[in-house]
Amino acid sequence: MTSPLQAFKYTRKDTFLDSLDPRSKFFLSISLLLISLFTQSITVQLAVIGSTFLLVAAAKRLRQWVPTLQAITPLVLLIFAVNLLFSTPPSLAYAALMSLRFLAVTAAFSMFFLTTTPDDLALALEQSGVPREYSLMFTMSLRFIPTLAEDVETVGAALMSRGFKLDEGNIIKRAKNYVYLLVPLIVYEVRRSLMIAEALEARAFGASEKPTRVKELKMRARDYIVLAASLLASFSPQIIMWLGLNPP
Amino acid sequence: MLAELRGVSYRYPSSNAWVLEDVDFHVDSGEYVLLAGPSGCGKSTLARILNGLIPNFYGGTLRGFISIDGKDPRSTPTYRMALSVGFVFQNPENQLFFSDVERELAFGLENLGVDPGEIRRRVEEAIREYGLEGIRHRSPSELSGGQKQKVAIASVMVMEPKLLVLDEPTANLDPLSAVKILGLVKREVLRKNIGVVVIEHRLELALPYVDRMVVMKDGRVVAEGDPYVVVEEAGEVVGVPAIFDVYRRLVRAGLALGNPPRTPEELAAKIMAVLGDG
Repeated sequence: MTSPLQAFKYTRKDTFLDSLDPRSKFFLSISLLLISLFTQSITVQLAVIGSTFLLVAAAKRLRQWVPTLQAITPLVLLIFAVNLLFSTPPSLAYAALMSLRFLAVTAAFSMFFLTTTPDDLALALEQSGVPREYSLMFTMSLRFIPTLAEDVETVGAALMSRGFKLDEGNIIKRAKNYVYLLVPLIVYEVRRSLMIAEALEARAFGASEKPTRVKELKMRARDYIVLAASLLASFSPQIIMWLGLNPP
Repeated sequence: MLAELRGVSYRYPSSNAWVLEDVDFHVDSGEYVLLAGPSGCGKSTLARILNGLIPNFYGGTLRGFISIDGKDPRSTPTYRMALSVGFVFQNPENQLFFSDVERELAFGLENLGVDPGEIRRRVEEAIREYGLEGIRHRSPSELSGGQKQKVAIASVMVMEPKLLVLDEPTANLDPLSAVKILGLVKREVLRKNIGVVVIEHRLELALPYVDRMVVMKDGRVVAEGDPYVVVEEAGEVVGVPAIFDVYRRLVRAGLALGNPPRTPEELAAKIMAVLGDG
């Protein structure tokens, strides 16, 4: 199944991007975002998408990355159409810029999530001073997505096995149908969250004021190189302009 | 005595009825105790007193004498009880919090503030002991039910508890995985001399492993002692496994089979021996 969310699901691989500290990778994505946001040039947007493509290819993640971009294509087209219709005066270039910008930002962050484990991400948060409760909340919400998906299926199957037609009728009827799914699902998940809380207590959660960490993130030489390169890249449009080479 | 309860009664905060009434219970180091009884008899409640979730997490009124590794859960927070008591829940899905087995094993020790070097040592040891090498970086959604429960037990055992409590650990497993889990726990009892309390409905799976059996009904302990004697005594409460039924009929028919068998294989061997003699 290819869902847009697939693009944000981490798979373990051993490449240069995987070996980077999540903080430097995040900075890399942020710099791509900044370039994309602060330029009015379609060429630069294409350059951002192009360089992300090269990075993702180097990280051997094209197979997950490309379907994401395909999945968001309808949204890109919608952004294009809306901007074309509502910009004054109507400008093809402006609409193209806006939709490419959306594509560039999604591409850059998809690259980040595809190459960063949720656990590493949480570590990065903790080491940046975010309390453990919050970083744990973050990792656990990702960890329990497949569990929740299974629960939806279970409740749906239980309803349908008693003759309930979940996917029938017009949109309003269907939306109403999903209320029947939602009520037992919420009860189910509240109970589950209580059981998870119990299990957390049983594993001594909250025992120490200063919990230790088996793994510490460390910035290495390659991380500093990536940081410097990202910083430089963030200002590249300005540098190019300053050199008198106005990007087209 | 590792854990001892005397005259313990408990009721949940929202209820007037006592879930446990005047319960005596004990478990010693190196002892594998099976706790059985119909649903709602108070087994899980008793188990949660052992690790302090009752009253710390649930509240309510708890009376009687309680000493668990010298601690009273009424004056000891659950995270401190966790140093003495490991708890494994029915659904492994709800006790795995990370997308990586290694991180999962380290979590409890991190919470206790154990030194990272020591955590790495214990995690590696657990991975070796539990044969988790091939799945050390898997996420729970990529594991089978049996593997998940194995990881759950390992993640509790790395904290080196003296008492391990398992609340229906095999309820979500197929019989073969269930036997493996119960056998794994037996190995821990023998190797590390820990005390174990396991709640289990499928008696025929658990009986070959356990040293003692306690049967509860309506919040009271109704039978206790040698598993084979207790199964005879409390047959109406917990049900009699098929193998005992067969054994009894054969004895009634005049076969001198001696003591009750632990497994179907043992029964078969006994029958063969008797027939061989004749």
